Amino acid sequence: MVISVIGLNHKSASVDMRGRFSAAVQEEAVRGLMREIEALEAVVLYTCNRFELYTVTEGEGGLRERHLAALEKMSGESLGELSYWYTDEEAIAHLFRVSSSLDSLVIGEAQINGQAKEALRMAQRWGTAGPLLTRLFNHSFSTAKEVRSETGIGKYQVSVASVAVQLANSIFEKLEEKELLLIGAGKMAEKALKHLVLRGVERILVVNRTRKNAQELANRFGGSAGDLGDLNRALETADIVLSAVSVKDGFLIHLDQMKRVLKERKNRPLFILDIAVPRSVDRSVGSLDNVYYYELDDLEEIANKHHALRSRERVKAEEIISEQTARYREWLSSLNMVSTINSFKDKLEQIRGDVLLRFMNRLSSVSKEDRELIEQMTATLINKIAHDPISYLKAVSSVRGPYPGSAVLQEMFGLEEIRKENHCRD
Amino acid sequence: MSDFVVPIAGILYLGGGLLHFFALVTERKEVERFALFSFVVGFFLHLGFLFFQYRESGVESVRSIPFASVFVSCCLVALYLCIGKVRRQPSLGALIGLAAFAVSTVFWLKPTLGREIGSAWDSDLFPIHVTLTLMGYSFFALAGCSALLYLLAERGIKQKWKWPLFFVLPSLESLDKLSIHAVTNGFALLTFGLATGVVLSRQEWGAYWYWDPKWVLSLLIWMVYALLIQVRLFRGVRGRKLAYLCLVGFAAVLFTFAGLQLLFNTKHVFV
Repeated sequence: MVISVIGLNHKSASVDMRGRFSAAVQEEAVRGLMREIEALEAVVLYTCNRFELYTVTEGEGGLRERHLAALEKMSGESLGELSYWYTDEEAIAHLFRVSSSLDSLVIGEAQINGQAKEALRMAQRWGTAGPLLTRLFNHSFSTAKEVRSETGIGKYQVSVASVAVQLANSIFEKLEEKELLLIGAGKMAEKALKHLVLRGVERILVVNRTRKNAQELANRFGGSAGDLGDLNRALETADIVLSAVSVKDGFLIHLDQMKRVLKERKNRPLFILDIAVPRSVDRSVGSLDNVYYYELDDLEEIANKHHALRSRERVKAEEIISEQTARYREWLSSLNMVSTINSFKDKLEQIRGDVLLRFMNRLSSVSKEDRELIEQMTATLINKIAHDPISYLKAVSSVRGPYPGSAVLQEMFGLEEIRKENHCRD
Repeated sequence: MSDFVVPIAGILYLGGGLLHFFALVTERKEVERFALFSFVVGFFLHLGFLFFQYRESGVESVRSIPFASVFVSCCLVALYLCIGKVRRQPSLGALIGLAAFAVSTVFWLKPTLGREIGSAWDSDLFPIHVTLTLMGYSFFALAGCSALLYLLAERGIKQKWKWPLFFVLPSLESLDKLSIHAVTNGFALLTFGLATGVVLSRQEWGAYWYWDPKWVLSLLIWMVYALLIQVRLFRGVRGRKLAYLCLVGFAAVLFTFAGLQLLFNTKHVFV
């Protein structure tokens, strides 16, 4: 029995290539793949950054080729270089990493966990997810939760834009109520604007040398526009200034000008971000009270620092993942026929013992012979009950290793607890 | 009962403060919940203590215990619990816990006041004067904590500190707002407190005003906070300068409250 994953993600393949698998998120398609691969179980995880097919197959050679061939048939492309392939321990750890958002484009984002849950739900509805993958996915959710609460993996923002937003949040109470003044309408300006709008900034004013370009950009984000002549008035009302335009000589915003503006704004705090190269704002405005000035280099420095901190958290996360991987494998290995049958018998015997103990006390008038008879009777009863399930399990377990039937039986009769109890007694 | 209830409450405040600090560093919500729980228990211990003292000996209780310390520390914690979920941040909670603990210990160590001050005790105005003034002081303490945090966070942002902890401090704007709200409320309470004090002074000693250190300093405190509110409203002074003013005002409060009697001889023999 082999658990494996074949997939393409944002690192290995282009958006277009991954897009070709959107059709795989259907019951028919998944069943088709399973037939071709001869898989016993399958779950498809498809998000904007990845396509992954998790399967459980009988352990025989040529597995990777079978998987590749099935996917290539579906997409009509050669995927050898673009896909990754993991089996067993590596596949388990891979899913845990994906669910914990260690493999995401934005590490630590929470969305992927919901997407993985949805993938499992769908596979369960179609009946393609069996006991092994169901357990694996559920285990990955609890692992993700542990990673999230035990490490600060999502805490550190490592892109310049997110650092800027974080800074804005430590100055202002609510970004939605703040006005953003964007100086410039070029590519750089647009990119920065996009990030801030995504993070909740709603009131936007764009000023630019050519008013037309400013108007165009403003229209797209629902803001208003002006030209550089409006700069002073704009500075009086804005809360966040994002400057992405550099002038040939000197600055766009000077110290003296800023002092005048501050008087007009009654000292309301002003956050100035200078992302133009060369700088467009006189650095000394940062010395004024209630003016917070950051240039591109500062943001990058913080982002780098965070990057280093995050790497440290990553080590912690990997420790959790390898620990959980080991735990899942432990469960897998407990699924072999012999130990399942043993715990099944133990469980029945335990029930018999409990019931006898409870009722024998009440039957005080029963003679010793009758007692023995009752003992025999109950023993025969459980043997008869156990006979069919055990012979079924023996018949279907011609293959060595973990068999899904064991997992079903274990779940139905709560055998895991029995095993744990026995384990404790040792 | 008072022998252990009040110290236990103080220790609960300290524990709450430390837990808040722990919650700040580890960013764990459940730790913060423990910290708040610790505050709530401490608060109710103090409240219960005040209630039973009052039932037993009425207005006398103000004299028989270092009433002011218990009252201010429990007020301060109550204020923190009431400022709303958004403003209750672990960093502020840590400061409040430490401040409440400090207030409750320092005055616990103070010997019980035994001196008679005459008929002022019997006046109906007396408990009103004391509670209003002390509640005002509690608001100023809250403003002081918030201002201190503001100065720390502002420094961090200005000097471009790279350590990530300062990203988890409350935003400058919210701290600034909290300070000014607390000061405005405290000022209103103090104004009524001093007004009743002046009337009591007339009843007890015959004149509204004396050139006594307590009178002068109280007026000074009132003026500092009046100035603070005035420059904020009409001059748009905010941020760092306002935070410094909050701290100056609070330092004056602390001195009037604690240090005055050690240095000067004053008519106003109770805190």
